[in-house]
Amino acid sequence: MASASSILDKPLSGPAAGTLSDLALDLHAVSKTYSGAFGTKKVHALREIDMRVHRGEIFGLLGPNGAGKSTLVKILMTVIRPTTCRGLMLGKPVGDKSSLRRVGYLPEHHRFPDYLTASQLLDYFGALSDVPRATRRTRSEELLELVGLKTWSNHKVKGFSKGMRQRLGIANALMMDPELVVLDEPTDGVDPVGRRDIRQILTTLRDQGRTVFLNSHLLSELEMVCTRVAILVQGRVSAQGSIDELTRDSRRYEIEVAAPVGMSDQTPPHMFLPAALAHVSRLEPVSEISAPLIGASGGSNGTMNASGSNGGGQIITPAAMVIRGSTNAGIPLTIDRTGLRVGSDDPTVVQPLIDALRAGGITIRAVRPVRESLEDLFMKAVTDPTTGKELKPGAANVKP
Amino acid sequence: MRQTLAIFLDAYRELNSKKLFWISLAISLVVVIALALPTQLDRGIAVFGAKLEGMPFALVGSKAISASAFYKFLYSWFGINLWLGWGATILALVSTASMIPDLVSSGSIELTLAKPLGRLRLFLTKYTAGLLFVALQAGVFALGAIAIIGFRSGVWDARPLFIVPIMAMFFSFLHCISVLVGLLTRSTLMSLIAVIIMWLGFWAIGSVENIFLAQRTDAQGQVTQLEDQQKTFRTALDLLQQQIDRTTPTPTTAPQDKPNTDVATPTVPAAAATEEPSVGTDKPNGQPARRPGARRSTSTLLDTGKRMLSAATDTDPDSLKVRKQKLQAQIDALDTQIAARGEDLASTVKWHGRLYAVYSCVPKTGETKDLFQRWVIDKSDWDGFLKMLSDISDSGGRPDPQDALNKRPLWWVLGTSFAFEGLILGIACWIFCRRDF
Repeated sequence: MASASSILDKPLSGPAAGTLSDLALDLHAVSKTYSGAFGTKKVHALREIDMRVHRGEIFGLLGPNGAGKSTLVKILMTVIRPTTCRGLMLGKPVGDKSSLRRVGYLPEHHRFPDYLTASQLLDYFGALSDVPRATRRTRSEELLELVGLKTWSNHKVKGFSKGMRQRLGIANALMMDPELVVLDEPTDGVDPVGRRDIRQILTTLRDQGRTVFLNSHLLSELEMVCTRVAILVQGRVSAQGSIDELTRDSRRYEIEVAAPVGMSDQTPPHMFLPAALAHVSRLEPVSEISAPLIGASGGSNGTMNASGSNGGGQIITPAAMVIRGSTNAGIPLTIDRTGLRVGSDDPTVVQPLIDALRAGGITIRAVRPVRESLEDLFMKAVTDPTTGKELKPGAANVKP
Repeated sequence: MRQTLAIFLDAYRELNSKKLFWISLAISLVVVIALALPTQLDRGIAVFGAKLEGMPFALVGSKAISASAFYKFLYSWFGINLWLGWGATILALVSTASMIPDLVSSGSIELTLAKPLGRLRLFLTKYTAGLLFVALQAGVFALGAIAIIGFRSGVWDARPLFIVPIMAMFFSFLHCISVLVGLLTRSTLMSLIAVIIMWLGFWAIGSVENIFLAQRTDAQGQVTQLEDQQKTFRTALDLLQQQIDRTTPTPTTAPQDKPNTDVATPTVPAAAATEEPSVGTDKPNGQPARRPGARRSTSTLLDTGKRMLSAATDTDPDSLKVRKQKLQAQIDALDTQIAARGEDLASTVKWHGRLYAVYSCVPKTGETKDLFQRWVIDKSDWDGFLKMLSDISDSGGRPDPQDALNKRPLWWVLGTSFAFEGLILGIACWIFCRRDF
């Protein structure tokens, strides 16, 4: 692919520059209910969706299969008519065809006409977007170069691989110099180099002030480029915001430790951390571990005494070797197999703990700030908190 | 406009990519050239040196019709009715049946609907673009026909270009069904099967209606003819009665042996009517006699003349009474015939009325194709042909069913067909505009 800046180096012009509203998408109460024959068996695909996408950001829409992501995108692109919708897209009501003149779209599993060549295809869809002929001609050449298909411009689409079609689709979405680009699984079928190139294009678009609405299952990729995300589960927005905002509660420090001198390296942290932190924390002592631990001393019949007390502490199993407590200041603390987790992203909170550990002769291997990944966030959103099981895919037959 | 042109260009590119389009075009050219090969003779035609004379080839010989009419006839009957009307249309249906299923298929419809183009306009433009196949085929055929007719007859007539709108209209009546079924089922095969079944249905309804129309026209002609005969006979009967009254002896009347020259002239038809047994019921097949002016042999004319002369000079009251009885018997027989034919006619009219009502609701594919003959072939060109055809068919002076077909108003032929198309297309548009894809 050519450098994204070679074609996309022009800043956004037209109505988008200096616009009235900061929002590219401002959706309220978007619902879609499918009715079966004779009005029976209603399926609520989307329920009261509220969503805001700011101009100039890359917005990621996540969700399991059947969550309603494609339905939402299709409503925006007027492919599906909403049951209810109060919202604006680029300042015009959702469903207003004229606003689509400024919106580029790459649908998932798109099917281009096989009989067209790459340049004919861009010309055709460009003309449908009402792009003047001269502009189409120059722009199609530039875009084909951008997506690495310039040498294929006169080849028919039927000879293209899936990745090539995807690249062509991205070029097609950019044909009308859009203010808003809606991409549904843009990296589907694209090799790693192509994915990197697409990411580069997306960030260039964002830097120019264009808005990118991205729908993808590749959470790691979304995490790399998205400014904000929304997670859709069973037709509802489960979470929405920047990744920083969504992971704020999960931010913490992790302190990886090694057993003090005189103890085996295999000794779990539960054996020595509570004692070392006794002055700065309130950790419930462990009385027994219900399975033999390699290198641990003491105990019989598969149990061992962890704290030396006789029955005053808790009994833990190897599968749940987690001790919970808090600092004297009330910051949550957790001890697990690898070390200590501090439930705060404030470095000043960590300092007394480090001091205590060092005073106890404990070797500190690493101290690192940690936050949840987008995948953790996603999995949390699609897990039923009451049962701990994954929510059923889709929104079918769920009462509103 | 830019978007509309883009859709038309895309439709052309799609056709261009289909082998069937080029195969069909090649066959069209072959048909155009093949129809240029026959040459008119006085009483037949010659093809590759082989002379085909006598019936039915004499009907299209140079004695019957002009050269331009001959080639127009060839293009109309073989080129349009057989090739464009059936062969090319089937190929066109096969080629265009996938147009709407492809448009609404998942992954394709999103690309098109997500454009600043209204659904109704998109659908109607696509629909119209679907007629491009037939329009192009017919255009090539028409240009070929103009060239061949011009070279072969020396008459350069641009009217064969009427084939283009005629075939486009004809095809549109079928295309709308293909589009609706394709939209509903998203299946090319279902779309094709449905349109062919419907087309055969229209053809069958039209054919049966035409047969009933022919029967109705013929029956009406027969009844009218019988009623005319009966009217003539009744007049003759009255005259005969007057002649009897005059010739019957009375005490104060003039001598009987002198013929009454004053009434001789009016008595001729009355007496003569009884001497014309062939008029009315006496033909072996029970059919009414030949129309006036039809060909008769010289001997028959002489015999008739002799009988009329004999009847006109008859002054014998007894003989006149016998003649009166015979005439009355003929009138009574005609009454019976008229009653029987009237019943037949009533039944035919009833069934034809029902068929006509059904036929009025469906496209007139056949009659639409026949518009070419109406618009392009001059009536005067056909006079010789029609005269020969009339002599052969011996319609007995009754109205020609083809005339009845040709007299059907254009608004009815096209209006009712377009009404059907409008209904089907309206349903398809409504579905397309409201459906969630």
